Amino acid sequence: MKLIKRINPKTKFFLSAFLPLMALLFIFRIFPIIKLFILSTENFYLKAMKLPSWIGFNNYLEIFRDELFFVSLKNSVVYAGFYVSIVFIGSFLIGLGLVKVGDKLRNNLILCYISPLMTTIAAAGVLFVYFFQPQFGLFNLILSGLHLPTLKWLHDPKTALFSVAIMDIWRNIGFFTVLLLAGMLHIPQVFLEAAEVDGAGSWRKYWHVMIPLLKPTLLLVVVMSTINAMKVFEPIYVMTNTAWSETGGPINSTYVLSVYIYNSAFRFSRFGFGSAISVVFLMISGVFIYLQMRFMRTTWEY
Amino acid sequence: MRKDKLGNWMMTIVITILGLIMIVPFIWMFLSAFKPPEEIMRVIPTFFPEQPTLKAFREIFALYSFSLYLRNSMIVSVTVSCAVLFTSSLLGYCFAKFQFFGKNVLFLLIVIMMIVPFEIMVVPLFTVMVSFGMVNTLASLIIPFVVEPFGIFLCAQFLKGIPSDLIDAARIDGLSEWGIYLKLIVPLIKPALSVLFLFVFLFQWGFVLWPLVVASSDKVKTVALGIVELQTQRGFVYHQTLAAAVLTITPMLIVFFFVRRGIVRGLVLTGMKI
Repeated sequence: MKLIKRINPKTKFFLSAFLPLMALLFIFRIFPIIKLFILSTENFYLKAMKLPSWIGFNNYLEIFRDELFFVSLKNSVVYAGFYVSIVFIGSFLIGLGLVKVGDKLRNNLILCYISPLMTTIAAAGVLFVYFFQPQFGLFNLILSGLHLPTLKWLHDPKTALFSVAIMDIWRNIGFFTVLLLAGMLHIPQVFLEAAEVDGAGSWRKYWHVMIPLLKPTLLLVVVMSTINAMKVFEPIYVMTNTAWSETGGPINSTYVLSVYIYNSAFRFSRFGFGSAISVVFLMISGVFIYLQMRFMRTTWEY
Repeated sequence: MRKDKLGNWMMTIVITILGLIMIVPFIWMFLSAFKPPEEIMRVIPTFFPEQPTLKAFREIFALYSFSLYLRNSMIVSVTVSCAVLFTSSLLGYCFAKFQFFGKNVLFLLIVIMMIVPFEIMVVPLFTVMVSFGMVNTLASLIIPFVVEPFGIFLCAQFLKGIPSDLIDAARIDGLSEWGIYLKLIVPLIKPALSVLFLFVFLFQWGFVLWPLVVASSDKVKTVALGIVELQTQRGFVYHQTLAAAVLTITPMLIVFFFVRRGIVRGLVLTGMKI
């Protein structure tokens, strides 16, 4: 007991606060990642009620021989390409526009762009399923009102994936816009004024000053939105797991990597196999994860 | 110069129109939720409901256990959010103001945890839950999220900007260590905490993947699951899903309305700190 009394009160506080909480973090966040790798080398069928056995890399071999893996990979990449391009260009242009606008209008507009973030994915998802309804949904109503051909949105394998992406973009673009806007507003006025004094009177010269300074933030937006898009599950599940379509959409057109993981592990109870896919997914997004870490550190350095 | 001004005006108009387009889904949602199903499915739409009705809302409570789902979602979201405030401020304080072995490595781990998608960890986390025997309980929806890496990161970054002299002075003045935390640190960190609370609450309120995996009985299901369930039942129950969407979104919108100035300020500030 005397020993404990002699310990610095600062240390006592630290240990009593730090240790239990870090233990929680370890059990529920860090340990699962370790277990992930272990599970991926086992054939763990949860429902089979027998102990899993070690099968080395067989899960991985099976993945690379599975057509469904390549379908899901392709869909994930297509989704990400669409999502990232629109989010990147859109948030940049909107941010640019918001810089020039008066303060009061800007704050109100920011609220408008942020408001979709206040929805839950489930609610926004079913909302957009209603909007995408070919007969009486809002979007086809608008299209036919403008005398444009209507689409079958979620019912058409060619457009289903992009329909889901549209909801996702609507929801998330506000976040990236604010991120870029904060970066743009943070640029000292001095730089821009100096460019103006040097004879740059038009938008184009603003760009040559602004974009290099914004590069870290721009790259952060690209990387973050890529990770967002590659991991997408909830919008896909909510919008294509309905009475008339399986998760994975018409002809598996919305079958993305996370759906592949979910189905393998929780529909077919193949936890080892699901873990292996998760590891592959981790490897694929590993580059982006590393990049995001690096860019997060440099966004405020000028 | 005139060309510039015209360009500016056009930009402003485009941005404003686009901003209004962003909120059109909300408007259409509210209008449609109070229409009877026949009106919703009409090929030539009506704008305002011709026969406003609460039928859809009554149905989701009668036919499904929506009051139960709402209760569960409330419990989970509030508990996790409050817990995260506590754990994040405490751990953020530890990382910002204390030196210890392995601090940099651990902080790096926390940043990594922030970025690694949850979808990757679902499978092993579920097996952890199975071994604890906690599957299909509210606890399993709460406990894994009590310590949130993003929260720790946010609080640590925030606290790094606070001069240590302030804390040392408090120590000299005789304040106990926990006293310093409660009376000095917590009030200082309030802006970050309000952003954090909103963020975590919203996240838990709408979380689909984990409850989907872990909750199999109505006693434990959340509102998010309830909404999805509505869709898988029969074909066209749009009036019900719309009502459920309104029920889910409205509380958040109300909170958003009250907090809106704080959010804009907080977002721009934290956006710069990240």
